[in-house]
Amino acid sequence: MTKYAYFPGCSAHSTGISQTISVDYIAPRLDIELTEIPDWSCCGTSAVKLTNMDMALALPARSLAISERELPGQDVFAPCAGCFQSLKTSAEFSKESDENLAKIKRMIDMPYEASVDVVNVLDVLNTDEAKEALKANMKYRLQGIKVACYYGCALVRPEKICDPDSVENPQVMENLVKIIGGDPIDWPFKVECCGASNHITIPEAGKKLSKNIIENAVDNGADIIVTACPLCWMNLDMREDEINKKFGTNFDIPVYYITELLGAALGGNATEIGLDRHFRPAEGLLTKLVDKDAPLPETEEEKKARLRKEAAAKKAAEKKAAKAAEVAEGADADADGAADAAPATADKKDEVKA
Amino acid sequence: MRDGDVAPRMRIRSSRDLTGSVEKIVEKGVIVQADDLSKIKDSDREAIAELAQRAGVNLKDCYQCGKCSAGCPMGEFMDLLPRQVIRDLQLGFLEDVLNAKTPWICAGCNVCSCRCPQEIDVATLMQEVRRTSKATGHQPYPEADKFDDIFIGNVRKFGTSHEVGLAMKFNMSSGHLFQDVGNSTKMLKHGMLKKGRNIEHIDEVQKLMDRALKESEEK
Repeated sequence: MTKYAYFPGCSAHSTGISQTISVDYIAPRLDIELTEIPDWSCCGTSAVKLTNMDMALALPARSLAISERELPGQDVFAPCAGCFQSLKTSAEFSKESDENLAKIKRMIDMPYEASVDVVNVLDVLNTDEAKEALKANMKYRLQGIKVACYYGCALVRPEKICDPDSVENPQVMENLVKIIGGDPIDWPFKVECCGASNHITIPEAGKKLSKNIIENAVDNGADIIVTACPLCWMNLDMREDEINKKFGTNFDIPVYYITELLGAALGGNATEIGLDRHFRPAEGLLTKLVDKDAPLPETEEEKKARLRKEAAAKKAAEKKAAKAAEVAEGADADADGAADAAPATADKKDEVKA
Repeated sequence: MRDGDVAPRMRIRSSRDLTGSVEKIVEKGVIVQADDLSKIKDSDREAIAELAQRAGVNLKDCYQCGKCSAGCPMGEFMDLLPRQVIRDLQLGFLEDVLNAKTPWICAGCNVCSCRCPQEIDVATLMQEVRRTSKATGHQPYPEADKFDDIFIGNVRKFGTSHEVGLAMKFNMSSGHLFQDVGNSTKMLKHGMLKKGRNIEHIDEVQKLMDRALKESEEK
């Protein structure tokens, strides 16, 4: 059992509700125990950062200090990518020097040692324990579903803070999707920006950015898009209709949280994993699941091997048939008389030479 | 930047010598005005040096390769490309930068910082320009400014951000009255419009915010 101090974030019970519901569903099934940080407050996100940097570092530190006091030794888990980025930026700042820590303590006016680490959804799901539990407890598997794993910004950048496996081509989500039988596509827009809060302050620009992402996923053959950030999810799922209207496109691609996808594999129904709270129809995912132990679909290599085998068998059958015909012909010749048999054989030899 | 300034300004930028050595306005192939770098005030140079220091950036590291601007998802909506913001700062055009919409349009995606071959933290520099622009009373992009102010007001009042209240208040104050109203029916149906949570020790958050403001003033 891995224990985390849980920082739900302000979107947890509004636009990010499907992520919250699916996190709650999968956590116990992946041997993860979440305890909400008592009286946590807003992380400040970009609005505070863009106004006052000291405040942007101090606001998350309050919740981190409470976590350190009430849930000692536990990493802080923030499912919202924006919260993760703000909390971790503050935590890393305090760890950097005694001077920095003293400054933070002056502002929060609470005991704080900067001992906590901050983790995101992918960090939590990408442990050996969680992956083993997923393999052991999954009931269903996706079959033949092409998945565009979309990371956006705050899970990978800034690189120093987020520490992703690769800043331009991360694979953590792809590996999780493969475990549950999905088929991740290779696509170049996986770490592009969704437009973030520009969807509100400069909507024309925001829509263009989201359109680019959906378009690139569709062009590369994706059936679904999967994300791990509530803001990305909203800017893709909620805005798809607006994008179609504005750009005359005809996109019809559901957008899921990675936690919803795992929840579906673990046997959750639409309500249990939040699929009934999407802006676009999302429950179709459940009809595409097959039993975990159902025969695996043929891989490319297996298909080639099968075709080779079939071709060889066909050739052998033809050969056999030809031989049988020859024998039959021979038998006919015997019946006609031994004198005719010799020229018949000679004719055949000539044919072969020709 | 006044609205009427947009056209000539764009002309300046589009005709700028890419090496940046001379600032000039070209009309029909004739130079009609060249900026005189000798007129740049020392106080502006000092302010820029302080700004760069707060951002932790050495402006001289930039050799104008443009990789930041090539990868910038918001580039096409900006009045100055990120590369040009840095070039202006290098040359000492403080007011041009503080009046630019660019730092206010920047989505903070960090692609520029991540790809800069000189490891300049362009995104942080952009944020520092925005903070300085706000602190010195410039308001080149009122919508973005309003959004931030309403957000921070929300946090001060509740200790958390009430997303719905935030969107509604923003629409009222920015004049985008019906923005996202179409989505609100579904939000309501999906239980996304519940009243946000207020924290218990709101006084702690308020005092923290005041101390942070004081900390910044003392710097």
